[in-house]
Amino acid sequence: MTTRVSLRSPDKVMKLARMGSFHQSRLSFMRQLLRRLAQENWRFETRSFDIDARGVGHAVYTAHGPERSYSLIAFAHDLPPESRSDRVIATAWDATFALFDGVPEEADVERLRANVPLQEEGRISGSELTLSRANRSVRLWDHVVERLAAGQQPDATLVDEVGYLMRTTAVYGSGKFGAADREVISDRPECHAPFQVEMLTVYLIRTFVMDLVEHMARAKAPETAVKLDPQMRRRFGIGNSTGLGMAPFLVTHPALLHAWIAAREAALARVRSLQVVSLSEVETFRTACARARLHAYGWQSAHPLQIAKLEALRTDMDCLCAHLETIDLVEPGSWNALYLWGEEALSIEGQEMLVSLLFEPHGALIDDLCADMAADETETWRIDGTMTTTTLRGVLQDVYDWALAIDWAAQDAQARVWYVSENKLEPRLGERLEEPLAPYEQPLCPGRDAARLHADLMTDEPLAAFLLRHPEHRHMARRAQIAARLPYSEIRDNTIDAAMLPIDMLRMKLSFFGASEFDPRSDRWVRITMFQHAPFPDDLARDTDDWALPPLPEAAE
Amino acid sequence: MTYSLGEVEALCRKAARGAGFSWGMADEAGKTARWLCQHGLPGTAALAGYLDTVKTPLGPDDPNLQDWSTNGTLCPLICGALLSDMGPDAAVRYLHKLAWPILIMPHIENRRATILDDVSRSLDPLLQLANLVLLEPARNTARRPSEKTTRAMITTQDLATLTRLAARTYAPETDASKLSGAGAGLKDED
Repeated sequence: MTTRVSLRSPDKVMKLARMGSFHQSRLSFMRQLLRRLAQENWRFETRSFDIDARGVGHAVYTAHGPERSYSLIAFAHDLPPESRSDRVIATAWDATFALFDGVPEEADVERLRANVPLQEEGRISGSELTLSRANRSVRLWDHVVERLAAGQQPDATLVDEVGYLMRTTAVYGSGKFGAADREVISDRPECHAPFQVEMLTVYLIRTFVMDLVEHMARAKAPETAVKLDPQMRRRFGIGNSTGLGMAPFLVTHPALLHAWIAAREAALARVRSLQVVSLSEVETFRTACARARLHAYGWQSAHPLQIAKLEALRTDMDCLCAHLETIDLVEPGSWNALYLWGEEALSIEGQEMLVSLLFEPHGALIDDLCADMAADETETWRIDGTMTTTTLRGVLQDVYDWALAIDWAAQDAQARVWYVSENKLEPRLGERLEEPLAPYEQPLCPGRDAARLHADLMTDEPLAAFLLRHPEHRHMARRAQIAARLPYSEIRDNTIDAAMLPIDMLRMKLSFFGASEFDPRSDRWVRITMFQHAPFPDDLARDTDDWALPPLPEAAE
Repeated sequence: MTYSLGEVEALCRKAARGAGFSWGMADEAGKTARWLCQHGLPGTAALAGYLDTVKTPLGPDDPNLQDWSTNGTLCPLICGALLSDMGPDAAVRYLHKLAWPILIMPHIENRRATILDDVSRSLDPLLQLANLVLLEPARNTARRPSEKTTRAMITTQDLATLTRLAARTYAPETDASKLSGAGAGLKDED
């Protein structure tokens, strides 16, 4: 007997409250990357580590794949404490990085030495794939250097509390600041999935940072310094501090957004449709639940909104683990029954955690969906001007019914303005009534624009003729046609509402990266941890994609 | 120094918006410049030249006719978008008084464009105005550049023009926006 469970509706999934509760999963880009590095036996070498006792210099880490090599070129700096800032307006960092396409010559390193430390003010070339920088977590950095210099291991509680020694504050790719465009590399198997070179950059940064902290301890006390114990080492991830700049991406790449969500929803439908589940799959799932519960209790945030969500998630995980004691998961249809139970019993955080957990035992069933998570955006770019305005009205009433129901004359409905400031050209969010920002508004409010387009579609004619008279609706007509074909391409919520939380948009994207420990610092700025507990390059071959949740205490022994 | 095609597209999109085009048309301008640069044609020079002088961009009075014309100069970005929207079934054969004709190139698809007022000028990619352009089905498309490049050059002057126009899309910095806009407020150096 087979039961085909259908995909969850975009009206359910594409709400900011739910997207802002997504968690990493097997489909996440970090996990895709490490699975590939392990399966293809990538080889890693430190080609250069030329850093002095003050921590100033450069290093080159190269990853050799089956066909090509990629090199992280890291520049370490001696940053005065008063210059340390995670904001995009910062001008100096503890370390700066570029990912080089291949193995760099000395001249490449020198060229990059003159540019990479300047970040946005410098230029990189088509030989580079990413540009990035990182700052130390000062309190943990100093603690680890001092402990290691004294021949001791760092305090595990403090390590778990912070989770990383450095956090990146930007990882630019895809042609930014002169780097190679994505289309230059997108045909390579190892770059086909989204953000693979960005994730490789961060993975290599993590290795560099661990080497650097041990180097600094050795420089401080060569006689007594020790290295980190391997198990202690794995507790360190790389932090990341992300602001508003990431949020517009989800609106400006609708076909890509659809590809990500559609893969995740297809994976969920496949797992829910399973009738027969093996004992070992059940065991994998139960262990994952226990580890996710541990993760929920270890997850720290000082933000009131996230604190409330974490309390709910911890209750959810207690509830889930207790429920598992009462049911027989080998019963036919048990996954779907469990999912449906979760919809009733768990908060949205817990429901989406359950989705991720249901994927854990079923790599063989769902991992092929990773291949569908890239998108050729040129395929959906062109507007079909032969579509009639009447048909387009129907599309709007179907996809944007939620937006047509909003009273856009109400102040709260249009309270916000997405704009770009002249300083550092960063995307920002302002208050429409308090600042004269409306003339600079970016087209990042599809709900309102859909309602405006709908109101103007009075005649029945080919869309081409309508858009010739109404070029102001052109961007929205394109979106609507994309959304008609790709149901998960549009966030089905008001992105300029007074109560909208940009962190929900950031969380959704970061969850697909594979981030954890999501920690909002305001409604529009978050910190996360990447690659925590992940194997280092030397251990990749021995790991089977089993790192994304913290190990259970007994397993860590 | 060369630029990525992504940089070309982003800059040209903002410049077109700064020059007064709608966001949807600005998207087309960015894609147009990118396509031309990708095919080894001077996309940024042509777009900078056009945007720097355009006052009121006009499309054809009746897009269903064989002759596209208006009371003034036809905008190549509007005509290009219209060709793209209408697809291969568009009846158009002649475009009268078309500014910067190269900018419609990405959208003519399987047609061939010939500038009839002076055939010798047909090869000039920086022609600013064509009195009459003939669109006809291409007998062969071999003349279309097939070799794609991945980098673009931008002259200092064109870069200055495009950057100046793009800057019109940026909101002036205020202390309030600096503090609240990007979401600071908590210590970030711990």
